Amino acid sequence: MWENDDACIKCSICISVCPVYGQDLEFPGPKALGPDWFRAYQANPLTVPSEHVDDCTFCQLCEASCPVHVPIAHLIAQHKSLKKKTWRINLRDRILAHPHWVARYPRLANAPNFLVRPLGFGTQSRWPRPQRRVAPLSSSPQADTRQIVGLFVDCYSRGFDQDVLSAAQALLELWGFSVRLLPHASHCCGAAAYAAGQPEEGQRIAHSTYDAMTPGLTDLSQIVTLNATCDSTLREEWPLYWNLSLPVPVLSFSEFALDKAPAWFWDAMHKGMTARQEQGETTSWIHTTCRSRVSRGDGILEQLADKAGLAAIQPLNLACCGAGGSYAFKEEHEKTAHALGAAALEQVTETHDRIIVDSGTCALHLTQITGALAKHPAYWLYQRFLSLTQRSGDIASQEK
Amino acid sequence: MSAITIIGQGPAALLAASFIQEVQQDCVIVADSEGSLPLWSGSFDFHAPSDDISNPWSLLDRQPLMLPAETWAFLWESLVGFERAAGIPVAADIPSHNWWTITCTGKSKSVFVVPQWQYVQKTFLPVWFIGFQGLADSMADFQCHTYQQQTGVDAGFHVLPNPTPWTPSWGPIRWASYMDTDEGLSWLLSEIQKVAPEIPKTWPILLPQVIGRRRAEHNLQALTTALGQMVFEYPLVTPSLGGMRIRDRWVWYLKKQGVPFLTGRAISVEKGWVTLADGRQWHSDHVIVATGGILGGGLEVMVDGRLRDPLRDTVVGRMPPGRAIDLYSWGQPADYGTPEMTACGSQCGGWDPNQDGNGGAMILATVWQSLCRTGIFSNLGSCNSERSVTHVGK
Amino acid sequence: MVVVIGAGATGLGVARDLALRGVKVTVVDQWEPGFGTSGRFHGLLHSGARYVVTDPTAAEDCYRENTLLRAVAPDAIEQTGGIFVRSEDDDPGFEQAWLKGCDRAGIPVTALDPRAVRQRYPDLTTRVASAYWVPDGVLEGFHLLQMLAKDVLAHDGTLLSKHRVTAIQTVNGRVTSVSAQGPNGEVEVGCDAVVNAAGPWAGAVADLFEDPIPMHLSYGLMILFAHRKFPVVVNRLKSPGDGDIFVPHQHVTILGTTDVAQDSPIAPDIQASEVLRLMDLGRELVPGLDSWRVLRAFTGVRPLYDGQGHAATSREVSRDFKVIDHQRRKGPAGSFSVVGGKWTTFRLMAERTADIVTQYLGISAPCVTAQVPLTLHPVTSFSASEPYLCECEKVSASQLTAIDGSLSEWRTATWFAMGPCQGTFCAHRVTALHHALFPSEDSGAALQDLRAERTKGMLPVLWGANAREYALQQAVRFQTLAEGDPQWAGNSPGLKNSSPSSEGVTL
Ligand SMILES: Cc1cc2nc3c(=O)[nH]c(=O)nc-3n(C[C@H](O)[C@H](O)[C@H](O)COP(=O)(O)OP(=O)(O)OC[C@H]3O[C@@H](n4cnc5c(N)ncnc54)[C@H](O)[C@@H]3O)c2cc1C
Ligand code: SF4
Ligand code: SF4
Repeated sequence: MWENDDACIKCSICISVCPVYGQDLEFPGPKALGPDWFRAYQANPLTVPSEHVDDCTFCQLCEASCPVHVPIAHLIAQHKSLKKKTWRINLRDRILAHPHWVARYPRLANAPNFLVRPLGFGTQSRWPRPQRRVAPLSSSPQADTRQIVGLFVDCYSRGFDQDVLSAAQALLELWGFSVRLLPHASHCCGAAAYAAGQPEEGQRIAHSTYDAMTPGLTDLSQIVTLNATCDSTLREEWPLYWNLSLPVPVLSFSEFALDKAPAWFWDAMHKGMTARQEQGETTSWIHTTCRSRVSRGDGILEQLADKAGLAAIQPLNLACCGAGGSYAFKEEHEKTAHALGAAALEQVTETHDRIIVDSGTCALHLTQITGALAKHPAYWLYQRFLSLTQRSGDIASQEK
Repeated sequence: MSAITIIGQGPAALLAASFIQEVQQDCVIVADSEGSLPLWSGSFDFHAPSDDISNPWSLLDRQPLMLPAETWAFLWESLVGFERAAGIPVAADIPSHNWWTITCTGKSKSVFVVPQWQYVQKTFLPVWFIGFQGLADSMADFQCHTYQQQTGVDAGFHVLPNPTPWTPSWGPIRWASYMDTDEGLSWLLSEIQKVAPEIPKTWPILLPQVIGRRRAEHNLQALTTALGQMVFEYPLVTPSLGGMRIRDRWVWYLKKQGVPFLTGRAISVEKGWVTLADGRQWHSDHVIVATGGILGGGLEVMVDGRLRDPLRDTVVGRMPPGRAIDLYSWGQPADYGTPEMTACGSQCGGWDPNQDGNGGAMILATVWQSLCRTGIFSNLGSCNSERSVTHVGK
Repeated sequence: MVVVIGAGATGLGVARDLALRGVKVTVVDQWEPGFGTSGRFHGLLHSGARYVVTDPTAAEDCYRENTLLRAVAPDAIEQTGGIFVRSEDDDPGFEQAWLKGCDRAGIPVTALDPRAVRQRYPDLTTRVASAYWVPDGVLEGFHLLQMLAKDVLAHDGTLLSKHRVTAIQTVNGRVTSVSAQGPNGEVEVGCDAVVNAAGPWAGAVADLFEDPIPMHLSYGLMILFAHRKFPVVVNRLKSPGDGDIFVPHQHVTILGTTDVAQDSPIAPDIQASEVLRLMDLGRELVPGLDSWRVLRAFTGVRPLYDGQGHAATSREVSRDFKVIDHQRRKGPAGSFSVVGGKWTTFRLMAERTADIVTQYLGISAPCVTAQVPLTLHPVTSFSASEPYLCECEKVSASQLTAIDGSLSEWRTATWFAMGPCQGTFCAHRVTALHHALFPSEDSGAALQDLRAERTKGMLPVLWGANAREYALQQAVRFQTLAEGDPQWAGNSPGLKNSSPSSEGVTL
């Protein structure tokens, strides 16, 4: 079905990187749930699915570690899809596999507890609160209309992280790009459904998102993403598993910024309060989310933070924070999700520290666990830019 | 993008990156999967035929690469230094002789630089093996039998029953996670205490290498104190906790030093331009290829027996018809044929750790060879021509 | 008492048939059940369709036996069904002859929509011109051998393993006993009749009767892939040739086979060129074959009987079998040989042989093997309190210890060390367990034998992930487990007596 689905050499390396295996004493691990299961399933399609298969977060760290490139996590997703569930869990999972429904009506997330428990939603992970847009820049510089950048608005940013969204938009405009939000209504890349073991539903969702996006693609130079999961889903699952190829390159906001933000901007970021002055006040903890590590690697956010003049940059020693998109919102995962994220407490002890993380749901999860504000780098960059320029005068004068 | 690009993240790559960051040069690591450390215990081998290796010259005829004694010493000291900086408990001095470690099948194997959680002995001594019933690679009865037979030394064993939360899906990592919990440690202590009266007080107690993933040293120390007797681990087969602990700490150490670990498959390197399968591309002054040979994926074996170097899309050899080849002897020559590119670790041909027990020496020597080409050792003065590298081959 | 020489499917089949008729039997084998061709099978329970054009008698026998076995030995047969696929490159004329042949032999055939077939089995070539369903099945060879052996023992029979027959004694031209050489010297088994069911060695045994028979030995190469890639047997619809069948066997797929004439009953070392040729042929049906994870290559020797004289190629030698009463030729009374045939027709061969033998013995008992079912003696199943020793094939200690046998019998009974890792991670574990039960055996040598045996099959197909598996296996064996000979692996004889010193290490 897929490339290398039978290539496993049984080296167990995948087990050595799986965050859930290291935490949950019953989780059989990626090798057993992926390639071992698949071999049994190919021999006998009636093979009973593992009762623990849904405890996989779909972080894909196993897959990225595999020397022979077995699509481990995707095999596990197929394994999940064969598991029979109760109607109540089915309903809940169906809702969580369509985060854009919730995002379309953010107030849904205020559902009272008496509704939440019986449906199998967790209560430990607090639901996100819808956020109002921050005030736009008073004197936004003129956009260079020759370069139109598509900003992929993931359902989470749209519903609950408007400040990140508007910060990113403002920065892109500041750097001279004209920004088009894509798609214009709430849609989902399909990652949530894939992670929940509904690959076919994911494909359907992705195709409808693709259709919603296409009218706005023709004159774009880039699509910029704000969420690592959506980013890698657009770049990997879309072409590899769902036969969808976007005519424009997709790039994460961080990589785009490193590559495309003009020199004057970086200069501005180093004026005013220097990193040294800031030091001692705040540590900038970096968490590269699992999905972004899997598709692009570690060290990019650090590079961005450094270029932006942020102080005391420290990576968080965290393979996966446990949020796993909607994973942490399921009652049966609360313990594992919390234990995974709690590892951050060994490092983050000050609530005034900042956490820079490239996914909204992970940010929410880390904030809840550490008490320190975790946000997407666009937010931190814009914050710093505003605070520096407000101190040193007019934004427009920073240009050129 | 970066002065030096290292392709791969196995031991060879980590060592190269450590040297580079030590001299404050920029480097970036890019790899498309894990390296080999979780496959082995992480004891770096360097077998000397004589008991005394304070003079590594005695080894020269056994190594494919001739290095001056002081270079060997420099390399081993650096390795020890990097490991210690990363929080891996190895003794501060490089050993002056080989140690014997004991495999899970009870055989003795010569090793060199070894973390202190692993049991090693200079000569064969009586030991007490402990196995866990639910851990397939701990086979204390067999181990004890083989050890006695091979060494002629006295030994004993016990097999401990499974703890309550045990399930058949528990592999070594699961056992280790359990030992990282207070419950796990106290289970272990109480089980050993039950059998302790039978164990001679001066014999070290050897446990399977699963006594914690993060807290191994702490746990072993706690057991040693509580039992009043030395407690160590013996290495198992993959997934090997020894190698995992080293990997976890070493990678973390390098990340903290600011070394980026990019994920991606390098598909070509040409005139310093590295291209990844996802389209990313950058230029480096030097590219160090630490892609692990046949096992690591740095060389592909094709159906017809040809060996392909995927980075340059060239055929580098062909297996003989019976295919009964010595896998390590295949590889790139160290210089890779282009000035800006060198190979190290298992990707570099000519070494055979399976036969010669020199896996660690291979990594050190080939990394050194690569780094000499980058010029970062120039101020160390050990790369100059009169003491240069001779690839004597096999 | 009847001595049956050979514990393959035919020999055990004959022994069981006789035992069920009340005859006392002893089966003698130079090694263990399944050592010969029966244990090196392609695993195909022929529907007969393969032979309808070239060998109609064999085809009819196959179909009848196929139906019968499915009824009497369901535990050892997987009723997968099979498909015959004609590619656009193959002769459409043959298809017509084949359909007529199936009709004549009474083999049910269903035409399939080629487009649907391509969709259902995406690994197949896109050049499928036509496709048919036939009642092929898969034979669990090792299971069936065990079932037969157990049934022989249960009916008062005896199994003498690791004994090679060296002489046949006669008195007044009648067989009286058989001598066999075993690990503890020679034994002599008295008997009234001898049945030579020695497969590829049948020629050598017939020589002991001093009545040579014209054997036509040929060996076939098979390649084993790690996953079960097709749920059905896939045959190529053309005149039977090389590399035209894929058999799904439990978790794996077996591509076969070739046909190379030879003299020795033991196949020569596998030639690289032959492996490549088999891959070339396989690729005609499965274009992406190179990307399938390969495990090993192995060979089996076909004990064909060339009754008519010398056929040009072994594909032309009938798959039909023959029972020879040597008394009617030059041999002693009471000596019989059964040669030729297929795994699929073993029961029929046994029936015919036993008919002649009982007639000779003056016993009138009818054959009952077509009615009496063969059942799998339950293997102890996995207990929830132990880990798997072999993770690929999910084999635990209690499954192994329930079998009273050698390491290789443990292997064929459970398939440990036969999955994707080829014993890399389980060989030492299982050896240790075997040692606990049989402490007097040399476990070190047993482990080396097992490793060598696995390596032998891996080497000819060392490519792709399999080459990497092999590299890992070598490293585990030599760098982790110190299985090698060098001094650094602690094997130097001088080290054995080195005296313990008081020096230790501290944490
Ligand atoms: C089971 C086992 C036991 C061992 N025991 C010992 C021992 O006891 N003592 C000892 O000293 N040594 C031991 N070794 C070590 C061994 O001998 C080698 O020295 C070592 O594994 C080589 O490491 P490496 O860094 O060269 O390659 P690897 O660790 O294999 O690393 C290769 C890296 O290259 C990456 N890569 C490959 N191709 C590409 C590409 N195109 N683009 C990007 N990345 C790529 C891979 O993803 C991987 O990260 C053991 C090894 C094994 C497997
Ligand atoms: S996707 Fe993540 S959680 Fe799931 S098995 Fe792989 S590593 Fe473990
Ligand atoms: S899936 Fe990959 S990493 Fe996991 S055991 Fe198999 S080969 Fe190793």
